[in-house]
This record gives sequence, C-alpha cells and structure tokens, in this order.
Amino acid sequence: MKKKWLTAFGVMALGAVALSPSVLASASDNSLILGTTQQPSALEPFVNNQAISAEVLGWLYAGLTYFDQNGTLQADLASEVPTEKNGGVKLTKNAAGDVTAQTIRWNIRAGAKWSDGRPITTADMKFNYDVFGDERLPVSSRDNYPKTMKVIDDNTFEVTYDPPYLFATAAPSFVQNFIAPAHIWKPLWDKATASAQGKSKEQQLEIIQKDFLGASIATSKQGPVVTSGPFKFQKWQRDQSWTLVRNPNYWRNNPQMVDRLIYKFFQKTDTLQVNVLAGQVDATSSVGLVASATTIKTLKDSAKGLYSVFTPKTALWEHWDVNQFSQVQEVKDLGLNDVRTRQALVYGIDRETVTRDLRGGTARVSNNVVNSLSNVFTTQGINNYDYNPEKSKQLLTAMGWKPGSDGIMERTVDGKTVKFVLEYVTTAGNAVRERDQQFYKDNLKKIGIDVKFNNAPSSVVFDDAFIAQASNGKWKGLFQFAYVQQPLTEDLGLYYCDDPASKTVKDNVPTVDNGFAGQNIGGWCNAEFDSLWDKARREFDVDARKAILAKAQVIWNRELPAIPLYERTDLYTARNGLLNYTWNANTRYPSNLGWLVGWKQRGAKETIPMK
Amino acid sequence: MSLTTATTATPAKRKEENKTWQRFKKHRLAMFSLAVLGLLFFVSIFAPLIAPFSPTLNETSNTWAQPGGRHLMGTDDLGRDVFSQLLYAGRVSLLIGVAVALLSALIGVTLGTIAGYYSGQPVIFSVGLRSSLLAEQQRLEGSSFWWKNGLKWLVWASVIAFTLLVTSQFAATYSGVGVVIAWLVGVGLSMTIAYFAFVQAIVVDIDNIISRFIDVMLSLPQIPFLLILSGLLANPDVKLGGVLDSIFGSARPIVLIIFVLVLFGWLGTARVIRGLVLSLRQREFTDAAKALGSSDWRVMIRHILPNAVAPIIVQVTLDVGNNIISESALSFLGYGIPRDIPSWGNMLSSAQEAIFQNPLASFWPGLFILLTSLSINFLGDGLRDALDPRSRL
Amino acid sequence: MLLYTSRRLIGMIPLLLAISMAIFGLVQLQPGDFIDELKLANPKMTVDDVARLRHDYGLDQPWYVQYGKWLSKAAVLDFGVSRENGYISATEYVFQQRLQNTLTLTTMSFVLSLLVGLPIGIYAAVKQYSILDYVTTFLSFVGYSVPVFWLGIMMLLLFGAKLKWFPTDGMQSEGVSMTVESDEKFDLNGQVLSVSKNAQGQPVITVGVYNEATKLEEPKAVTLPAGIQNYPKMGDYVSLGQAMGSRVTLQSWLNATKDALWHLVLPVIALSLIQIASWTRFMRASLLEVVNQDFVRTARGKGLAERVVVYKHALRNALIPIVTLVGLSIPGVLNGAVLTESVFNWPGMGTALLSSVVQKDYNVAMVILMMLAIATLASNLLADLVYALVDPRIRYN
Repeated sequence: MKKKWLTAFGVMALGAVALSPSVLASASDNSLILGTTQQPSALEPFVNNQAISAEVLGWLYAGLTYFDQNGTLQADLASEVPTEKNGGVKLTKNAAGDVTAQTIRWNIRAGAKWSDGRPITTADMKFNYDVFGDERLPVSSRDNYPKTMKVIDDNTFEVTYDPPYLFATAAPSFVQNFIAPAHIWKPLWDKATASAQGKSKEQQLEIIQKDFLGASIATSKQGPVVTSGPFKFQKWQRDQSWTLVRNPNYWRNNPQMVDRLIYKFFQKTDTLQVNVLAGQVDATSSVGLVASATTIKTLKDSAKGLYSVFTPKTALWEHWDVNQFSQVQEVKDLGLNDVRTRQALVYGIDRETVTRDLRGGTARVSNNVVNSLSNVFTTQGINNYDYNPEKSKQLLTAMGWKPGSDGIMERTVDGKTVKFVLEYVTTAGNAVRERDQQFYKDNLKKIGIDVKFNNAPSSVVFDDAFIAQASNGKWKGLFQFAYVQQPLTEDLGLYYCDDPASKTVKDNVPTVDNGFAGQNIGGWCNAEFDSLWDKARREFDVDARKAILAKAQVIWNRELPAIPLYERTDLYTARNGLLNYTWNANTRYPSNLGWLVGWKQRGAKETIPMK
Repeated sequence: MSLTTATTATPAKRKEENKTWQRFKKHRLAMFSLAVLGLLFFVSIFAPLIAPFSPTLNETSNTWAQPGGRHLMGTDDLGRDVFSQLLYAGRVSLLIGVAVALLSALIGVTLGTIAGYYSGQPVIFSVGLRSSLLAEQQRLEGSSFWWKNGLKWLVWASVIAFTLLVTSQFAATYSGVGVVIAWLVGVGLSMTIAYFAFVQAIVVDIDNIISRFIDVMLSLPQIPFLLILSGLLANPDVKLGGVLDSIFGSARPIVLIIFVLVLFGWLGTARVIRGLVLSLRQREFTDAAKALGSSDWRVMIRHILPNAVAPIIVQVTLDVGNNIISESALSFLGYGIPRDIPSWGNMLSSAQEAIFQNPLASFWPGLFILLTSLSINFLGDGLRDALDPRSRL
Repeated sequence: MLLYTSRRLIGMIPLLLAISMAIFGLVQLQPGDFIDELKLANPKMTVDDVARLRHDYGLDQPWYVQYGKWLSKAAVLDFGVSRENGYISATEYVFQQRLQNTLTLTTMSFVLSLLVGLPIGIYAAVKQYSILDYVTTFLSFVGYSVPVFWLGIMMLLLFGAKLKWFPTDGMQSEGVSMTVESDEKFDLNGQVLSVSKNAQGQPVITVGVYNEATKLEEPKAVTLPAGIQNYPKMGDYVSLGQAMGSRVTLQSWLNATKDALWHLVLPVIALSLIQIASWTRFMRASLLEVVNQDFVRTARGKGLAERVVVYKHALRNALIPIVTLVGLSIPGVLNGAVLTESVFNWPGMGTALLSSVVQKDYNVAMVILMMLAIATLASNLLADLVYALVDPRIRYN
C-alpha cells in the first residue's frame, strides 16, 4: 500500500518538475518585477495613506512638484516652482513685518496630459481641492490646507494659505501629492454626493466610502484607469500582483524606462527573501525587507552576482522618548526630568555597536532631532555623546546615586531609598527593536541601571490611552519608536512645548488639560527653544531660518528632550543591470523618480547612483 | 476503557496500583521516555548550575556562530550561547506545557463531567411564583428552597437592571423614533426575562449549552483568536490584564500565554470526558450510589471521576507537547513571550531570521520541542497500557 | 422530522445572536482602532482630526451600541465594507476572493492526509511494535512537532530557491491566466457609453473619445471581432493598446491549471504533514482498540485468516470513530491554515482573518467568524439528522 503511494508521489513530483516554466528574464522584455510585503488597500488618491500606496501611486500620478535626491524642489506638472523671486509666491505682511498669509500662483505645464490624452487643467485642480476639503471625506488631516483657491484660467490658479505655511510649494496639491483626473472621478463624486443628500452624517459617510472611495476605478475591480505619471495601470490581481505599463502621454516619457512594472505581494518578509534568492523578483520595494545585520549579510552572501544589496538612508529616526513629568513618582525618584540623568543614559549606551553589529553597519548614530540630509542640519556645537560608561557613572554619582549590594544604583529621595529600575517600552513583535532593547538593557546594567521591559503590540502602545499619557504614568521611563523625520519640514516642532501664538498653555504636551493632545509626549519644556521654533516657522528667509534653527538644535542636543538613537536605513535588492532604482530620505520612494528606472541592457544610463 | 477500581477497598487499590506500575515498567519505550523527560526537567531546573554561560551574556561581534568551539550549539542573534539559553528556555516551555495541560484538564474535566452528568436533565435556574415546578421544587428542597431561589431571583434582577442600563445608553445615542425603538426592545427584553424568572421558570439544559459552546469554540480558528485574546488582555481599558500584571510582575507574559492557551486547551478534554461520563452514569455503580442517597456532586467526584482517570492522563500528556508548539506559533506571529525571557518557541522563531545563514540555529530548539512531545507521547502510551490492561495500545 | 429540523433551526437564532455578540464584544475590545494606525502613518494629525474621524466612523460609541448598529444591518445581510480591501463589501471579499483559495488548499491537503495517514496508521497497528511502527510513529511526531512556518520556509528554500522545482511566489505565476487576450487592441481612449450588437452578431461598443481640437467628447463606435468574450461593459474605460477582450482556449486553460497545481504542491504537502501525523495516530489507536475486542477474538477463534480478520472485521469497526472524526473536522477546512498560508503567500481565509484583526478591519473578521459559527452549527444539525436516518432507535419529534 505504501509503495503505491510513494510511486504516486514520485510521479507527482516529476510531473511538477516537467511543468516548471523557464526562469524569468525581465531585462529581455524590458519589464521590472518588484516584491513587496504590503498590498495597497485601495488606489484612491484621497484618503489612503499607507506607505505602499504612496509608493505605487508615485508611479501612476505626477504632482505639481517633486523632490530630487538632494532635497531640491523641482517642477513636474507645474511649469516651474513658484518662488518669491519669480513672482509665484506673494506674502501678506502685517504692520510688524510678520507674514500673515501667503498666496501661491501655479502654472500647469503646457501640454501636460492625462494618460488618455486629455489635458490636465485647473478644472482637475479645483475638483481635487473641493473633494479634499469636503468634510464628509474621511481624510486623516487637513492641517495646512489652503484656505481658498481661485481658478484664473485653464492653466493658472492661485491658492491662499492663511495662516501661512512655510512649505506650501512642496506640498502643493492639497496635502497629498497626487491629483486625480476630474473627468473620471467627478461623475462618481456627483453621483455619490447626490445620493447622500439629506441623509444623516453617518449614512453620508458610508455612501461616500462605498460609491466614491470604493468605486471600481479605485479597487482591484478595474483600477485607476487614467493617470498622469510615468505609468498607467493595467491589471490588479487581488493578493497576487499588480501590473503597470508605460504611459506614453507623460510629458517626460523616457524611452529607456522599463515598459512594464509588476508588483508581487508577499505576506511575509521571509517569503519575499526566498523569492529574492530564487530570482523571482528583480528588486524589492521600499516596503519589504527589514534592515537587520543578519538579513543584510545573508542577502549579500547569496547574491552571487545575480543582484546587489542596497541600504538607502531613510527619514526614520529611532529614539527614546523619556518621561519627564515630575508628578510621576518614578520620574521624581529616578530624576528623569534632570538633564544629567538623560545625559548619563545616552553616555551609558553603546549606539555605535548597535549600528555596526545589529543593524549591519547601515544606520547612522543620531545626536539631533533634525535629519542629517536636511539643509538646516548642523554639527556646530553638537555633542556626539560617544559611549562613555565612566562619564555616566560620574553623572549619576553627582546626583547621589551609589551602587547597592546587587550592583544596582541606589539613592535616597525624600527619606526613602530608591533603586534605579527603569521602565523601557517598545513595540512587541518588532524583532529588530526588541534586539536593540536587550542590548541596551545589558549596557545600562553595566552602569548600575536595571531595566524592566513593558512591551506590547503597536496597537496597544500607540493607542492614545497609552502613548499620550506619560503624565498619568501609563509609561514611566523610556519609550522607543521612530518618527518620520522629513528633511524638509525639520520636525523641530515635535519637541516644542508652548505655542506663544495660542492661548492654551503647553499646547504640545499631552496632559489632561488639553485632552492629551500634542507630540511632545515626554513633557520637556524650554522657553528659549519654544521661541526659536516659533520664530523659525514664520521666517521666510532661508539663511535667517538656518541660523535660528542651528541655535535650537544646540539646545536640543544639550538638553536632550529625547534620547536620539539613530537614523535608520531601508534595505532592498536589485538585479544587476537595473539602474536608477533607489530612494533616500528626500525622495522616500523609488517611484518618486520613476521615469528614470531602466535596464542597462536596454540602454538606460545611470543618473542616480544606487546606494 | 473500563475500570471499576475506584469503589473497591484500599488494599485492593494499592495492589492494583502496584500492578499498574509493573505493567508500565514493561513498556520499555515509555520508561525510556520517562528518563528523557526527567533529564529535560532536571537540566532545566538546574540550568544555572549546568549552563556554561549566562543566558543573557551577549557578544554582538559573534552572532549566529556555528556550533563547536566555545559554544556547543553556536550563538544566537545577539551572540548569546544557544545551549545555555536552551536550558533556561526549558524552564519556561516546560512550565507552559505542564501548567496549561493541568489547568485545561481541571476545567475540561469539571465542565465535561457536569455536561455529561446532566445531559438530558435540564437544570432549574429560577422558579417563578406561578410555575408548575414551584410545588415540586418546594417539596424537594424543603425549607432551603426560599433562600436558594431568592438568591437566584436577585441574580436575575441584576441582569434586568443591567439590560435597562444598557438600553438607556443605547437610546441616548439615537434620536427620534430610534429612542422609542431602543426602549421598546430593551424593556421588552427585560420584561421577558422578568416573566420567566419570577412568574414562570428558567430551566436550562446545561449540557446543551456547554456542548454547543465547545462546538463553536472548536470551529473558531485558534491562532487569530489567540491574537484577539492577547490583544484584549493587553488593552489598558480591560482591567484583567492589569490585574495579571500587578500579581505576576515580570512573569506576566508567561502567565498571559498560559491563560490564553488554557482558554482553548480545555475544549478537547471536556468533549472526551463528557462522552465518557455519559456512558459511566448509566452504569450500575452510579445507580447504586444514587440509590444510597449520594448527592450529585458526590456521585460525580467519588464514583464517576475515578473511572475516567486513564483518558484524563492520556489527554494531559498529549496536551503538554501541543502547548509547547502553540506557544512557538504565537511567538512566530509576534504575540508570544518576549525574547528576553527565552523559550523554545521564541528561540525557534527568532532563529528563523538566520535560516539562510545558520540553519542549525533553528534545529536546536526544534529538537528540544520534538524530544519533549515525542517522549511525552510515548509516556502517555505507556500509561494508557498500564492503566487499561485490556488494550495493549 | 421536519418539525424537529425547523425547531432546531429556530433554536439556532438566539444561539447565533449570543455568538455574534460575544465575538463582536471581543473584537471591539481590542486595544486601539484603525484611527490609531492612520495617526501613525501621519503624525501631523491633530487631536481634533482624530476626534472627528472617530466620530465619523462611530468609533466613539460604546461597543454594544456599535453592536446594535452592526446587528441591524447584518439582519438584512449587510455586513459592511472592508476598509482594507478597497471598501468592497466584506462578504464579497470573503466569499468571492478568499474562500475558494482556502478550500482548494485545505480540501486537497485534507484528502491527501487521509489517503496517506490512514493506511500508515493501519499498517502501524497491524505491525504493532515492529520497527516500522516505531519509524512511522517517530516520523509522524516529527511532522507534528516541526512548526509549519519553519518547515514551509525550508521547503521553499530547498525546492524553490535551490532546486527550482517549485515556485515560491504564491498562487499563480505572473502572466499566466485562464484566458488569452485577443490580438485586436483598442486604438483609442475613453469611457464606454453603450454596448450593442450589429446584424452579424458582433458586439459594437461606443466610446466617448476626447477630441483635442474641439475639446469635446465625441462618441465613436468600435466593432469588436465575432466570438470575443469579456469585452468592456458600459461605464468601463478602455485605453490605447488594451486588448478588446479575451477568450478561454484549451491551451490557456491547461496552462493555468498546470500552473495552479504546480503552485499547490508545496503548501499542500506542508499542510498535510501535520494532519498525516494525527490521522496516523488516530487510525492506529482506533484499530488497536478494536483488535482487542471480543468479536475480533471470536473471529480469530473461528480460524479466519488474519487478513480477513483485520481488514474485514476489525477495520470496519475501527473506521466508525474515524468517520465521525472526519465529519467533525470538515468545518475546519473553512478555517484556512493561517501559518501555512502566510509562509506560502496563499491568500486564504486564515490570513484574511489574521490581517483583518491586525489591521482592525473588523467587518471582515465578523463575516469570517460568523460564517464559521454557522457552518459548525449546521454541520452539527446535519450530523444529528444523519444519525437519526441511519439509526432507527433515534426518533425526533
């Protein structure tokens, strides 16, 4: 009986071998197969804000402007980047000379077309402005949304920002950078809003979700049929793959660009990795492999000339937020609100070794809240906090800490002996972070600090009821996670405390008084930093801003409102011969310069070195 | 599976135990497995004395080292000694395996016995004043009837109060006709409960409830459901997780896993025991005990359960291995025990990362899991043979 | 009988209500909601944004109010949309996109594991304590103890990446399809305004084409070749170079089927290995139990050949509990197998449920969990009815 089965198995296996088709040869038909671990939930350019959607929409849609690798703003669908100099930006100033509003005049590039040949006009812009501003559309944020929009002619329009927004030209198209074709979407919008007429708010929302955001042109049923970027959409096999083809109507149609782009979706990073090794994918997406030392080494070791491994810099900034609310007992006991303690912590951890051994030498140790690629980034007067446990111990001794019988530091606070036991929270299930955590625990033990982990899945720790409630002692010590630290917008705003322009006190520090609003979750306050931040956001002169922000960075670095760990890198592979497929903290996605991506074998020239 | 040892006198019982041990000893594979298991427990318990390195000692320049040299089984992602980690991990994994199996057996046997025993005999949860059952219950329970039934009424009254509370909150979120409908439904429901609790009677087929519950639970896919449960316990608004936290402190993750695994673990046992009790309660000795005036509880504990010992032991032994594997699956999905407390499961899933670089790294924890579940299974076989002489299995 | 059945069916309603309430409560009590995920992706969201969205989606209401809303819609079979899957209805997502994939995978491995596991179990029981018995026991436990996520990756590495015998990329190869595209391609862009047929029975579609010169949309009729299928419907968009339609040919069908089978091999084997182990154990135990019973001894005593005793008398009786077990396991094939599916990149029910829980797309989770509950209750009822039909002692009234 068993023999029979064995034979049957053999036949099956052999049969299967005989069936196997030939190995992929992407360069030969000028296509590119990308592997990713996420699938866009939908491809409407309004509400969706998944990373993978931003990447795939980047291939499909062009914005008015884009960032190049150096972080310089370039025109795409706009004929030029509006500036004060060329008259595109007009500032309204009050008597004191402060800018109170700003008006930007955009010109759409002559001859800019949708993939179906229709011209891209201000009617499209107006439609997007109206839809995005409609409160029934559940967009995640309308912060810095232009207050008014005026259509001047088919190719020219003006938007007014009141209050002014420094980076308005960089985020031109109403927060999201993708403009949807009005001639396709408007009939759907009109229909949805008509049937929503007179219904309750909740029903309206539902109708708009189903009939507008869930329309077949946004989902796998049909896909976004008309696009403005280097590619147009061809096919979406739900949970399997996604195919794009060249859009010949894109104004910068590059003959050396790949003709076809296929995304394959994988549920697990491991499976994606197997597919890289098996040569089933040509390159991996920006949402795919995880940059750990082991993965980088494995991929490099098995590359065998088939593909290369790249680790581009990203805008992700890994750090510890430190609870500094003095009403929390642990904070008071450990003195976390004292800058010396925070300095002792940063001197006591070996960030250099983590970046080298655990993150494969790719991450960059950070000592600043500003991304190193930003043009306001400074190293002047910035302390590097190199690993120095002796210095930590000195700082701790100065604060009255003495090693106890078990080697853990002790001191007396209000007549009571306390031990230095520090709580450390991060996202459970994130192997790379949890590995850091175990390493730092060991580091801190060496300077007499005992660490207690309190990890939970990201849904728990990023819940408002947790992350924003350090003042209630929901987390009591360190909280490790990453912020997207965009080089452009600098993100010094993360750590301001009180906005002088508003009446509320401590606007950015989440407490019960402001409904736990704000991003300065550790509760650090520094009046000088606040005033510099406030000045900078209204300073439209680049050099003046640089000077202000350099001062702010020095304060940040000295006072350590948070403990900077490092700027992370992504990890991707690309088959040898693929050119210009890359990204960095400025471009963020490979699709941002998508029209350049091509095969060497098909005549593509290297314009951006892949890193 | 038919033992009738329980009701016999003590000397005979001891003799029987002796015989069981004799039979067990003959089962060489089971004896060998017992030895292996004993060894595993021994090295885990005495890990601090045996392990060559501290399980947390890291050396990040020497990660995923191959076995041999200083490190008998190589090193892991932080350059820690895998062999030492495995020994310490054994404490956690074996604890989880055994604790979950025992707790599951406790719950499963209790509910299974109740379900089987009361199968086909509905249990009275409340007798109303105009119920046809009133007179009979009063006669049966005599003077204790009123306070017992009074307590039941109190419980039902609070159920009604809760229903009305929920209704009021419900109604507050609606407007217009919605308010009326919400109140109609809420009050209607309350009145129905009141009618049955205080006027008629609430009679429930416990077996039906338990069995259907088990059916439905078994139909749910375990792993996503385990995730839901761990998420629930991690929710700061759900107090249970906080309570566990304050009691168990740093051992919380282990307790959570045990808790979550038990929630599913008892189902199989309960089903098996229920079937067994169904047949045992038809037997002569049950009838005899009842005729002698033993209470239901006494019959269950003293007469029926001792006869179900063999399948219970087999079930427990099989569960131990399963639980260790379930823990590793949860670790694989990132909901297991954090890596700073080593367990075979989380070692295996973290070694997954090095599957390309050092495949042996995942072999070792896998080997320990296999050894445990294999030897526990053989042990279970041996026990079954020994306890039930008729089957040679 | 009819009365009994209908009574049972009616009895299911409160049970399902209770189940749905319990599941809904559990799912809603998960920490955080998808707004938290949005916030993570977009740190610029203000507290007002968050409050606005929570209110818009009704997430600021207590769970039982949300349950009431869910229930009132579920009563008319509206289970809401799947937010993570392009706002299509959750039922469409589960039943049209996922169920079939899972059924293919799980039924194939279910059948395979029975076909392999039962004979091995019988063999092991007949030759109890032989070397072979030990070997199969050992192997079945290896199969049982090796976590499928580990085994799966190993299989992918060996048979996929190294030997390249089997694909590693999920369910279907890129570019393989059941249909072949027509050679005729559209040479225009626009929306289909109407579809009709001409006298020869050829489909004619009218496309609104944009005229650059007049800046107006002009209808243009396109006659499609005869016999073409899957051509655009009214309201679809056609674009330059797009195939006019497609057809299924024997070749394309064969290719697609071959491709599908080829992709099935590894996941089916991985999933079967665990099940084979348990069927082997069950079969062996059941047969051994029967072999030692009186009627088998009698049969032996009568001098029947061992073969006849084992295969005719003992096996028949030993199979009865196995059949019951098989019956009980059938609803399980709907569950999917989350670990296998995720390792082999198989878009099935297991991963659908898992990701809906992780991404807080709870409408999908509710549909799947309710479907499983209903399937279980239904199969229980069916089992009872079948027993009644088979066993004359049981009568329902």
